[in-house]
Formats: sequence, C-alpha cells, structure tokens
Amino acid sequence: MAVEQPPPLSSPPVAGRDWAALLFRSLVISSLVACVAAGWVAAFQFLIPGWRGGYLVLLVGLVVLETLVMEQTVGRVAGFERRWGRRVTEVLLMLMILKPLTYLERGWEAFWQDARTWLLHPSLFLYDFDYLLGAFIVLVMWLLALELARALDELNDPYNTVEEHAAGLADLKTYFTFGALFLLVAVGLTQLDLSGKIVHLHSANVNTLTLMPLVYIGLGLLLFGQARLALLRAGWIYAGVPVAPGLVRRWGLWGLLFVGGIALVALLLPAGSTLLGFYLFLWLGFMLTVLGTVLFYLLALLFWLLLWPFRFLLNSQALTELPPPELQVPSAPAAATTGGGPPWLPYLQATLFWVAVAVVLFVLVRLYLRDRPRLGNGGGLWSWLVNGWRAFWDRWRGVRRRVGAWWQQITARPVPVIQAGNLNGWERWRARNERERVRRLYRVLLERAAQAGHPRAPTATPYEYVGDLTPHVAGEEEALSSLTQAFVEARYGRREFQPEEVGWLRQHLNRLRARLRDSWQRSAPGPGDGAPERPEEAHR
Amino acid sequence: MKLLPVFCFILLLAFFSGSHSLFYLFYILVGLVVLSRLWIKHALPGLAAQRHFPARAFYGEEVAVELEIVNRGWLPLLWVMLRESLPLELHTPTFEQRVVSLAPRERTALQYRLTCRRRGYYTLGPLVSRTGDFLGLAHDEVREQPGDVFIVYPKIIPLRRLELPSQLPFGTVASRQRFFEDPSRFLGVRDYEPGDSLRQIHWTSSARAGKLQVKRYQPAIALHTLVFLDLNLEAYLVRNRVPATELGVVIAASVAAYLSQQRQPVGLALLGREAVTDQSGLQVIPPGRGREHLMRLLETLARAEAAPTAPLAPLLAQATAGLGWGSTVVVITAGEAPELWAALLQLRRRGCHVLLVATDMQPAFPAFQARLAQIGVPACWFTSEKDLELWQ
Repeated sequence: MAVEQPPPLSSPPVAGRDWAALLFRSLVISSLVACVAAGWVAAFQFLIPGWRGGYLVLLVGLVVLETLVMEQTVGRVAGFERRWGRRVTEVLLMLMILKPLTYLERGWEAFWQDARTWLLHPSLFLYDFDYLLGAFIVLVMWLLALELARALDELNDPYNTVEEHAAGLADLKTYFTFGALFLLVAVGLTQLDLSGKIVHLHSANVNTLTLMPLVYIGLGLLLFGQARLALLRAGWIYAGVPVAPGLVRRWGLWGLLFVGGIALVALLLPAGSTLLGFYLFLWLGFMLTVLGTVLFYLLALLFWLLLWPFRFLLNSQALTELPPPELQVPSAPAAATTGGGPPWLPYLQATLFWVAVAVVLFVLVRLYLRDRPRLGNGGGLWSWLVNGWRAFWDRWRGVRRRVGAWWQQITARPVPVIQAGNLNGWERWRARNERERVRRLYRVLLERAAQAGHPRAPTATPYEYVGDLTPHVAGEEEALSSLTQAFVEARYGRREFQPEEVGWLRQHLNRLRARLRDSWQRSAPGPGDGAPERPEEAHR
Repeated sequence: MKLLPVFCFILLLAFFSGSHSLFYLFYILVGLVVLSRLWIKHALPGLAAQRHFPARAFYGEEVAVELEIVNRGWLPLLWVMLRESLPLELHTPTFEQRVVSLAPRERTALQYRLTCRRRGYYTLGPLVSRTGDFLGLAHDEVREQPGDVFIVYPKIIPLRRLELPSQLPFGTVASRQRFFEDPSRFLGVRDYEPGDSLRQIHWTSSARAGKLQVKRYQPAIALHTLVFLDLNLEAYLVRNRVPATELGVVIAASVAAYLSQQRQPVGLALLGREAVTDQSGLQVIPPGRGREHLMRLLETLARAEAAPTAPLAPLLAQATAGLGWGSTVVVITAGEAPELWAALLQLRRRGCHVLLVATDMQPAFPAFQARLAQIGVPACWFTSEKDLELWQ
C-alpha cells in the first residue's frame, strides 16, 4: 500500500513559490483585463470608424502578464523611489512598444517615414490619436491589473488583520465590478444604433463580444477562487498548519475544470427560447394598455358629460362641436413567429427550455428549503404551507421594517426641544402623567400660598418652606408635609405615583387651600382701613 | 441560499429580455452553487482515516503514529483540513493539523510522534476533517467517532531487594527449604542435588531420564500476593493528591512486575475509578501468573484514576476474602486512615502477611508506623520514586 509521505512536520509551511500556480494567477488577471480591454476596443472601433485596435487586447494581456510575473519572481521592491522607478520604467517600455504597434494598419513604411520626423520634431511622437487612445487603454488596463493583484496580495498576507483581509476582498470585488461595468458599457455601446436621430438599441446578437461578459464572469470566478485560496492559506500559515505541496496547483487546475465544466454544461442548456414567456409578457403589456385606455376613456367621458351643460350656457361653437370620446382598444399582440425550420421546432425548444428552467428552479427551491428545516417540519402539505407562509410573512415584515426605518432615516427632521415653559395648555395636558400631576399640585399650592401672602423665597428649599408655611395652615401640617414630600419625590426621585395617590394629594391641597383662604381672610383688614389689596389684585 | 433572490432576478431579467448571455449566466451561477454543494456533500463521506500505531506502550517510550487518509470516493477533495486531537500528556500541542488535497482514490499520511510522559488510557482523535469548495460557497465537516484507544502502562521501577513477608519463610523461590511443602500437591520433578532426601526421589522419572530425579511439591503456605492500591482521593492530602497517587501506581506496577518476574502469583485490588467505564469502587483481579496476567494488571493500573470512593478499611476484608492462609497483602495507600489499623490486624489474624506502603506526606505517619509494628505489619513510607531505591 503506497502511502504518500508528507513533508516533515518541522518543515515550514509550504508558502514557497509554486511557479505554475503563480503563472495561473497572473494569467487569470491578465485574461480578465484583456477581456475588459477587448470590450473597450470594440466600443471604440464602433464609435470611431476606421480605427482598429485589436492588437491592444494582445498587448494588454502580455504587458499585464509580464508585470505580474515579474513582480512575483523578482519580488516586491522595497522603498517608494525604487518601486516607482520600476513602475515608470515599465510604463515607458510599454509606451515604446505601443508606438510601432500602432503602425500595424498603416504599414512599416509609414512608420519609418514618421520615425525620421520624430528626430526633428519629438512632439510628433505623441501627437498621434491612435497612439494616445491606445496608450490610454493600455494604461488604464494596466493599472486595473495592478490593483487586482495588489488586492489579491493583501489577502495572501498571513499577518494581515481580519479587517485588512476584509478590505482586500472588498477591493477585489470593487475592481472586479468596475471591470464588469467597463465591459458592459463597452458591449452596450456596440449595440447602439447611431444612424438615426434617436439613439436606440440593436437586438442582441450572439457573437463573440456578447459572450465576452460570460468569459469575464468565468475568469472572475477563477479569480475569486484564488482569493478564497489566498484567504485560506493566510489563515493556515498564520495558525502554523502545514499545507501539502501541490495544493495551490491543484486549486488552479481543479477550479478551472470545475468552472469550465459548468460553463460548458450551461452553454449546452437551452437559452432564450422563451417563446411562451415572451408572448405572455406581451399579453400582460396588452392588458395593462387596455386597462389604461378604458380608464382614460371613462375620464374623458366624464369630462365630456360635465361640459355638456356649458354648450347651452356659453353657446360656444367649440363646445357644440366637441365630439364624444371614442374607445380605441389596442390590437392584441400577434402570435409568436416561428422563424425558419419546421413548425414544431420552436415548441420543442420552448419545451426544453422550460423543462431546464423548471428543473433548476426545483433544485434551488429544494436547497432553499433544506437550509430552512423549519419550513419542512411538521409533516404534511398543510404544515409546509403554513410554515412557508409564516416565514414569508416574517421576511415581509422584516423588509417592511427595514424600509420604514430607512424612510424615517431619510425623512427625519430635527425634533425641536419642547420645554415645559413653552407648552400650551393642550400640550401640557397631553404631556402630564402622575408625577407631573403631583408637581402641578405643589405648584398650585405655591401659587395659593403666594396669593395668601406667604410666597416662597427663591432660595428656600421645599422642606424649609414647610417650616415657613406651617404656622399659616394650622391643623393641616400633615397635609402640607405629605404634599411637600410627594413633590420632592416626584421632582427629584424616580417614584411612580398611583392615580389614587394623586387624588389623595389633591384632597390635601384642597384642605390647604381652604386653610390658606381662612388665614388670608383672618389677616385681611376691613375695607377702607388701608390694608393691602389681595395679591392677585396687586398683580393686576 | 442567500443568492436565491439574485438568481430569480437574473432569471426574470433573462426571461423578459430574451438575452442568451443572461440565461447562460444564470445557469453558470446556479450550477456553481448547486454543484459545489453536491460536490462537498458527496465527496466528504468518501474520506476514510486509519491510524497505524502500537495500541500499548510503556512509560517513557516514543511512539510513531501514522494516520492514513484515503479518499475512497470518485470526487476529488480540493482541500481538507485535518485536525487530530491528541492528549496533552502525550503530545504538545494537543492537536496535529495538516491541510491536504486528495484526488479520487488518493492516499496520504499524517505522521506524528507521541511521547508517553504519563501512564493512562487515552483516546487518539477524534479526527475532524473540514473541507469546502474553491469559492467558499459550501463547506462541511466530519468528525470521526470514536477515536482509537492508546494505553500507556505505568512506570515500572526494577526491584531487587523487595522483602515481602510471603518470601520470608522461603527466602527466594529457588530456596530448597521444604518445611512448608505439601506432599499432596505434586508439582513435578527436578534433578537430584546433594542433600535431597532419598524419599523424595521419583524412581520412574529417574529410570526414564537416566539420572536421579526428585519430586517437587507445592508449598503449603500460599505465595499469593495481592497488591491493594488505594486511590481514594479523600485519603490523600489535597496538595499531594496527584504525585502521591501516581507514586502509588508506580509502586503497585513495580511490585507486580517484580513478583511476576519471580513467577509468583500476584493479584490486584484497586480502589478508584476505572477510566473506561467511569465507575468508581473496588475492582479485584485475583492472583495469577504469567506475562499475560501481568499485562492485564498493568493495563488496569494504566486505566486507574484517583477518585472519591468508599474508605479503604471496610473494603480490605472484601478484597482479600479469597486469599489463603499465608498470602501476602501489599497495601499501598496514603498513610494512616480510620479503622485501617484494625483492618490490618484482622488480616494478620487471618494468617496473611501484610506490608503497608504509604505515599502521602502525612506528619503523623511515623506514629502509625510504630503502632503497625506492634502487630507485625511492616510499613514503608515512600514519598518519591527515589525512595524506592530501598528495594532496588
């Protein structure tokens, strides 16, 4: 029994350079970037008649590959100046190579002829539209590739923090998305019809360019596979876990086979034979149009009827000649055209397509339910439906809550701080609670006591005021003490009062008010003897 | 399946636009998710692991373990992180890890070494295998149940001058004293030596062998020895529990090995916990001879663990009930214990020879030792393995 002998455990983790793996990674990135470059070249070829830039795709691929391989083999250059020195050298070399390539269409004779003029007028070397456009495309793609490689390197570093790894992955996703957008915009541009006054889209044809996004997605999957490997390896190396040799190489090979196999199977599946679906879509649009037409007709009829009396009142010719509205029902969509071939072929294609889609959807739903065993528990179709409905309802509520929160966040306005003193009567009544009522009772007491000639000094505490007021509320000392104590607890404490307590305190207040009134009446001299008038009158 | 809404969106977009590319994109993405899951689901069960190692080892040995991993399935495993859990007493750190990649029907091996630093009953593993696809869409984990058993026998210190009471009347086994031999227990014959009685000559055998042979009889006094090891945690001082109980196990193993080497029947009574069954109490292995029996004793000692149990003294009589007159009981315990003196006295009255070995550092033990001497029970006080030099 042959057993592969693993490397000795004391050996360092296999973090060395696997050239095939490094080349694979560089190839994936350069292919990705070349994909984007192809889209851009096609777009510029479409927009600029006569311009040809197919060679740029190859140039971009090769330049990026050279840069990445060189960086992996020579290693990163330490120091800002040296790093930028290498970059500048690469750019200059790239631009020097690009110049003769722009003469592929024009011929070498033109090149040699122009080359002589460059010696006399060096600025002519740059003043070339083909060259400038090509340089722009190459430089942008080169920078995109460098950023992709940098993001991948961030993931590869075992001593980066989790946040740095997350940032690297996010960068990778961002650059990939940007690349996809570049490509889609470029592919979309080629579908524009600029011949007429109004720009509109061609119908999409299946050609190399329209399949380019698919190639890009496939390469992107390989790139993210490499990112996944980088993250895993970083974790393993950090944890000191020995990695078997050859894993990196297998990762690339098996990933390629996996993605390629899936893509091959996908390309064999029926696509676009949505005869029935598209027809249904047309019918849906037709029904919506009919509904809108009927509504518009009813509205017009209503207006027409409303205008009817004015015909006799205003005797306007325009009104008298106003015809009643007519209902113009749009025509139903035409039956789907079958195109060439036997008549049953479209139906066969559509059937195959729907079978494929149904199978895929069935598998997806099954996986979805498997991930959520709660949905399938309980047995029976009814239980499944109920649980499914509950799950859907929970999800819907969650979405609604999130949307509501988002909307509130958008529409939120700064809430003005409402001070108690600014409240009107209604707001004050709405804002009060039991504690507020207790404080209000005490304030009424203070007002009544002040009216009776015993105002509280601004510096007196509630307990000090009890001592001042007690002689004037003889027999109701306990009521005064209770109300004061309740006020202190309501104002400075956290005690919650019960409604019956408030009623009881209100009775205390009434007794105190009566006592204060008696006290005031006793102390008040008779009219005309020069006694001071009642406090409220004095206020007035 | 968080991607389900995305898939549905792409499908609807493709459906209404009729774009072939979007359909292909939909198929590719769905295929990736579905096939990744299926891949992992069906590939991981095909992973098989087997350990190649000696199941038993002696204290101090180094054992090489080879963990063979086979992918028996037809699907490759892109990466598998193997994590083998190991006992701290045998391996530092307490795990061995490796990341491997396995093609269909491929084998690989994970090798590591165990250092038997402490006797015991250990489990190697479980082996946890974790894998995933190359995009991180699916992952799975398999835990091996259960792991493999590995036994480390206790440390055995070679003894030479062990003066057990059972040997005192005879000296060594090779002694020619026959005072206690029982003529009814015929054992065999041996060559005649000067000094042998003529009545012991076996004439038939002598005629067959062509030289004089004398009869051998089993001794009337049993040479059976029972080693009673007390691993009741409560009997030991808290600070000495681990070293004292471990020393007791070493002494028991050494005595058993010595007696077995001397071809004397030796048994074991263990008061503690059995690591395999996790049952606490008294476990008695009757005296026996031979290497196989000794390995059984050592294995029992390897699996023994100190635990709170019933006191030693009441169980002493129960453990020695099957011993004959003249048997020897070696009691290895912490030191003085309630009613121990009375129990040992009872043993003496039954005609057993008793040797008490104390392993805990109890200050009052010398006084107890003196009391034991009064009833003819010798007592040794060993607090470290170095003290065993007395018997070496």
